[in-house]
Amino acid sequence: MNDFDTRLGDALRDRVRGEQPDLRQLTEGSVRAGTRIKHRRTAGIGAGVLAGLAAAAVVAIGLPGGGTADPGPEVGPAAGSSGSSAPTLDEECLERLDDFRVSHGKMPADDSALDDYVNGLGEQEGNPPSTREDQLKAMSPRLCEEPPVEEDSSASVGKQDLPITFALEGWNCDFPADDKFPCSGPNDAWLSFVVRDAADHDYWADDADKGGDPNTVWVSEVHDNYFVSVQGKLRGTPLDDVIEGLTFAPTWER
Amino acid sequence: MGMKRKRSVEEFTTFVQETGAQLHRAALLLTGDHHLAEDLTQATYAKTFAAWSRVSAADSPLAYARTTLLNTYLSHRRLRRNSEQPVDDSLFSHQEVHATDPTTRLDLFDALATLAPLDRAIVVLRYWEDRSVADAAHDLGITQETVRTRSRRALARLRPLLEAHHPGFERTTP
Repeated sequence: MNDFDTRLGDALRDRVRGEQPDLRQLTEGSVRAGTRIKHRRTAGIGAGVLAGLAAAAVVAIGLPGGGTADPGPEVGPAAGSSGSSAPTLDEECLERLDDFRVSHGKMPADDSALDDYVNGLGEQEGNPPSTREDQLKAMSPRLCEEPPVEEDSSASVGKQDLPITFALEGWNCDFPADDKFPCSGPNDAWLSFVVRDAADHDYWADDADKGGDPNTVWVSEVHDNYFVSVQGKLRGTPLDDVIEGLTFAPTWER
Repeated sequence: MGMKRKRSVEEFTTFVQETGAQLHRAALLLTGDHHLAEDLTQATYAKTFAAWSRVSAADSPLAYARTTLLNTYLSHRRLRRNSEQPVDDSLFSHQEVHATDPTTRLDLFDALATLAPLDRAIVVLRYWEDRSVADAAHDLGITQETVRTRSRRALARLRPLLEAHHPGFERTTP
């Protein structure tokens, strides 16, 4: 650290020293938004699955000691013939049910009303109890499985699918698809950045046509387990600028 | 609310109280705007809360939140790039207009705004948080060489602006 570095650090700290967020508002807003994010993870579950979840809720809550982590022996996908390896609807599952209930306007917010609601559904549809039990058996694994950690889908630096980013003034890029992402620039220029396995580098680097594609404008060096090929039309953008705009992660984590 | 969820919310609330000011200030330095900083901080904590059962069990929940903050910021900047005016042009023209007036003060946020988002993130990590090159590289998922290169470039850009217009940065004689 030299003198300028030190002064810069001090100046940055001084500039924001008095800044204080509203922590209560921040917490409440984050919990609400975070809960919505969790719910979106289950958004792919279709209407039929929702009915299954509701049925699962009724059976789980209707168990002896309902609302606790003590599931009955009949709860679980393997219940029935053997019943020996049935996963349990533990407290984590019930927590998710709680989240689910609160997040869906159609669902009553208290357990007894939920019970009535789902029972009503069953009666309306003429489903015998055994059908709801089957639904529970089908649904409980999904209800209890660990949801995936949300990942940003962008190509930004950090935890991402692709180990490179590209940022150059006047250029815009789309989200990655598979192992590549396209970008467009001034004068209808376009480029496609493709992340490739390091084992293929010799083929791409040695071939006069760079992999047989005349649109290939540049091939990077190998970075640990990957390299990048750039294909497209520069249309006036200097290749050096494109290369300068690339950022490489140390490793391609696939 | 289930007991486990209630406990999670309590733990998370404590976490926000302990780290909220730090992340908010980092967000402010990154965005240079109070409203954007609030949005960025809340988005960061929302993602953190969504993964709280795993984050809270990690060695450093703050490290997770910091990485999330950086990723969210860089993703946001990338998505906005279509509609943004290049910030460099406007600020450099501003600088030229006032270059002859040494009494003109330049806010530090304005100076930071002349940097590319990744360079700005590196400056914040290296000089505000005092993170090492290795740590900054790890946080951003880039190489240490990239951190060094971009850090040098960022400082080369900031130095004349700050020395000319910011109190405390007056050029010192060697």
